[in-house]
Amino acid sequence: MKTAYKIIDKLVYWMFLAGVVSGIFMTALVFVSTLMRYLFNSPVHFSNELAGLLFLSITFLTIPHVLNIDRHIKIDLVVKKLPSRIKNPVGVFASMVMIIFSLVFIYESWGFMNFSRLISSRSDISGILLWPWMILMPLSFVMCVVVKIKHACLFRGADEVNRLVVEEKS
Amino acid sequence: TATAYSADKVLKFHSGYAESRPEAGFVNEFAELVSKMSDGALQIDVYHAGSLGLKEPDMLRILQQGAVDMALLYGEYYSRDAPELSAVYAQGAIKEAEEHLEVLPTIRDIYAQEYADWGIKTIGGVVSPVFDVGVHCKQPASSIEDLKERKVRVWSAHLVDTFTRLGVSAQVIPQNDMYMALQTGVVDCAYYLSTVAETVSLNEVTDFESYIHPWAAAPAMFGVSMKTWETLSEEQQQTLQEAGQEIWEKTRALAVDPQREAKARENRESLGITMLEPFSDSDVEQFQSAAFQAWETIAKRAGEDGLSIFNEVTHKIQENNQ
Amino acid sequence: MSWAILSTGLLSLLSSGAVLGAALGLVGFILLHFQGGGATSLAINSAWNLLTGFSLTAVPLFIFLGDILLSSGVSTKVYNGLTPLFRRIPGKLLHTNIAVCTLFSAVSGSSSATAAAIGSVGYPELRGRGYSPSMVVGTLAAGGTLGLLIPPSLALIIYGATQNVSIGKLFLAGIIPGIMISGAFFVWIMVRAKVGESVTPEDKEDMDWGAVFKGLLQVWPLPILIFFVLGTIYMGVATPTEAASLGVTASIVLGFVWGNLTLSKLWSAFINGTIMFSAIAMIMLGTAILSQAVSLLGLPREAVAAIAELGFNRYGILLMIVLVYIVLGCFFDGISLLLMTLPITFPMVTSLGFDPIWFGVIVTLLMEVGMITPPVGLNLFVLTSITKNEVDVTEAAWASLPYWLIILAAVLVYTAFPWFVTWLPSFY
Ligand code: NA
Ligand code: NA
Repeated sequence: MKTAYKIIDKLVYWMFLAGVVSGIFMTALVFVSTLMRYLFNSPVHFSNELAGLLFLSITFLTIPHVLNIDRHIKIDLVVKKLPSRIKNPVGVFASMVMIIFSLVFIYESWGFMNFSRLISSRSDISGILLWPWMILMPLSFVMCVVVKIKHACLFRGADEVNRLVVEEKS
Repeated sequence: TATAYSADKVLKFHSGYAESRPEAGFVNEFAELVSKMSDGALQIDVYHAGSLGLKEPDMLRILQQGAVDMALLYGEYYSRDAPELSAVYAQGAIKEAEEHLEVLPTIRDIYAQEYADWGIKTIGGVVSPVFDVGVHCKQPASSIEDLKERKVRVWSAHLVDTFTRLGVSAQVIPQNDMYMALQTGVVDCAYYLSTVAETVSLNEVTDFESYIHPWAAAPAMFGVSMKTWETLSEEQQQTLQEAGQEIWEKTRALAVDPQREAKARENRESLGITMLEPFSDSDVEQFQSAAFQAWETIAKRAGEDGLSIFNEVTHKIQENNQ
Repeated sequence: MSWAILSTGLLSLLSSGAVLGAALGLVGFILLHFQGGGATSLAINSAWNLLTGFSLTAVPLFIFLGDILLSSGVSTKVYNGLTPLFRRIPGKLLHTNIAVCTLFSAVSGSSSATAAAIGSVGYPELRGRGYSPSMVVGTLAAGGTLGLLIPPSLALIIYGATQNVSIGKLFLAGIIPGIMISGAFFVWIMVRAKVGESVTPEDKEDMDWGAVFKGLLQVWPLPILIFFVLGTIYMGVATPTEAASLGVTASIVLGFVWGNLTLSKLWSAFINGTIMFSAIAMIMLGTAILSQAVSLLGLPREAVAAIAELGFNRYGILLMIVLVYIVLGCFFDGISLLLMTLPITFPMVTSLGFDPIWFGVIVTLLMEVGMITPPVGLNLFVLTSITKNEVDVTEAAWASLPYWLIILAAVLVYTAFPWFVTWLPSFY
């Protein structure tokens, strides 16, 4: 089981790193294109389009890792005030919200990507083939579901861990 | 829209045009006409300026799925999903406004056929007014030579290619960024529909205007999702078709109007715009030939369909010119 | 029915502690499926359009900019330099948030980008110096809203282009209200610092002009950065979106030359910035789906249209419009709300004899209010992410309440005295 967790962690982290690199590349692209237009009067025509696609990549490549390290934003004001016996069912409900959202998103975005692949949709100005970028959308949320499942498994083992931590501290 | 809720059938109509554009007024007229012809039984609920939250490049898919009933379709927006549609018509295609009316039936037929392939029924539409297209600059510029030292904002890939062939640096900048880009000098000129330039306050950020050619305006067709169309009674279908055709004929008759253009030009002059000489005949000639080359490139990129559409339309244009 | 699903759905899903973006998006999916005739596929279109659009690219860029300044120590030096100057002013460095936001609004057309840019530096710096976290977040959320009002402003451009109103006049009209509101924020910070529990660190030292002068000498990178982000726009080098990339480059150079930036620190700045941005992007995704659902169902239009039938006088109708915008502001913000409602509110308000330029500013103020109105307020979300959830959305909303009231008070003042808005454009 531990190896499976590690593989998941690694996988989403590599995706995340690819997202970081997309971000750096996007910064550089916008910078270079701005200078090219100002200094040499020759803008990079496709820079806005490509920057947009990189922006999309940052988003979808990084969401699973950020979910994995629990850095997505939640409103936990209500949950904090709940009595502990209903905290668990509410927690399960919250996880279900993420999973159901992910499943609907995977289903629809896969359809969106697949249709675009069949008609080979291309970007307007530079004619970049779009489906390889679109596939990041379902991929991202498949990984989110995987991460959620991992969290759920860990959660079941968490009581055990808590006990160990408490023992260690005392 | 209050009465809409008492109708037998209410159709949601998407339009991406801002309400300040004349096309939006014609869409409203269409809705009123349908209501009148059906004694209020059939209602068109028009959502202007994309207020249903839908974006133009998605419209073919959206109508195909039937997520909205009707839309004002403007062929140049769909190049992502249907690249052959961007081969139908291109700026620089015509040099005189009247040419537009002669090539219009061919274009309408092609659109009807192509949209039908997407499960969209076309029922007439708005023949957009043939506006003047000009170059609006911060400093005087009225020739291709002048433009070679400037940065020009254009609205499509075809225009980027056309200007590049002429040795002019052009860039697509979204309409919402155009004002700032001109104000600060990120670009020096905008290639734009002069007649409606005031609606986006172009006169505040450019002082000079020079006419190039009439707008090769792809007609804005009324498209009905087949999914909706099949739920309509024969009577309702006929009402829609008649109303669509009536608006088509009315707007066609209004499309070419030198007086309107002259008045609009006077109005822009009164706003402080200096009208320069139009681009010379030889410049327009050059522009047109570059535009045709760029047009053919785009058509080729769209594959066989694109190329055959290109051939059909350009053949028609040449035929008219002889 | 749609309204019922919207409000109960949001209430239950958001309060469950689910990932916010997923909760918002799921409510959107439910509305699209059950009320929109199974149109869930539209959600993907809107997600794609939002996340491939060029204008939002400024948000991650400004976050990178902030993180680079932070990890290179440049921002610490700048804040240290400013500290003596603000020592005797109640509220101290809190004022820098508003000041920098005001300045930054002059380059950024968007509210969230402004909050992201200033927040990613301002929050850690001030928090580390012992300022109350929620007070810092409140000033940042509020300061960010100035981005829409002070030109350039995406809201005013879209208002002008869709309603055929002069963009130049609208820009001029935004200046005085922008400065006044910014001034009111300063005053509030001073008042708040004087009464109630302390929000700033204790500091007994006296004002020392020597220290002030020495401090200001430390601040010289600030004008350089301001030049790269602000100056390049007004010189025509870059559009506001592109200027963000110039700012990032300038901050890297400054970090290496003047700070203690290293390649590994730079890399970790990009990593931190990306995590922060990703959390914001997840919410943007959710809000895009939700607003697609709500706009497809025509809910805002329905709400606004209902006002016309109430038969009030002109101020009664205006009041109702303001109330409707406040309610809609709970669920939406920004540009989408503008596009959905203007086709009805604009003719309604102008036919009552109100000035179109004036209404542009009022509507922009109401958009700004929406940005900091929970449960769906992008500025609140951006800042929550920047604080790594140290200040949660609810706390951020409470902290923004005074500024929320100030902006609404401004709406009242400009209704009573419209010339605050219309005076400057009258010279154009
Ligand atoms: Na601004
Ligand atoms: Na809000």
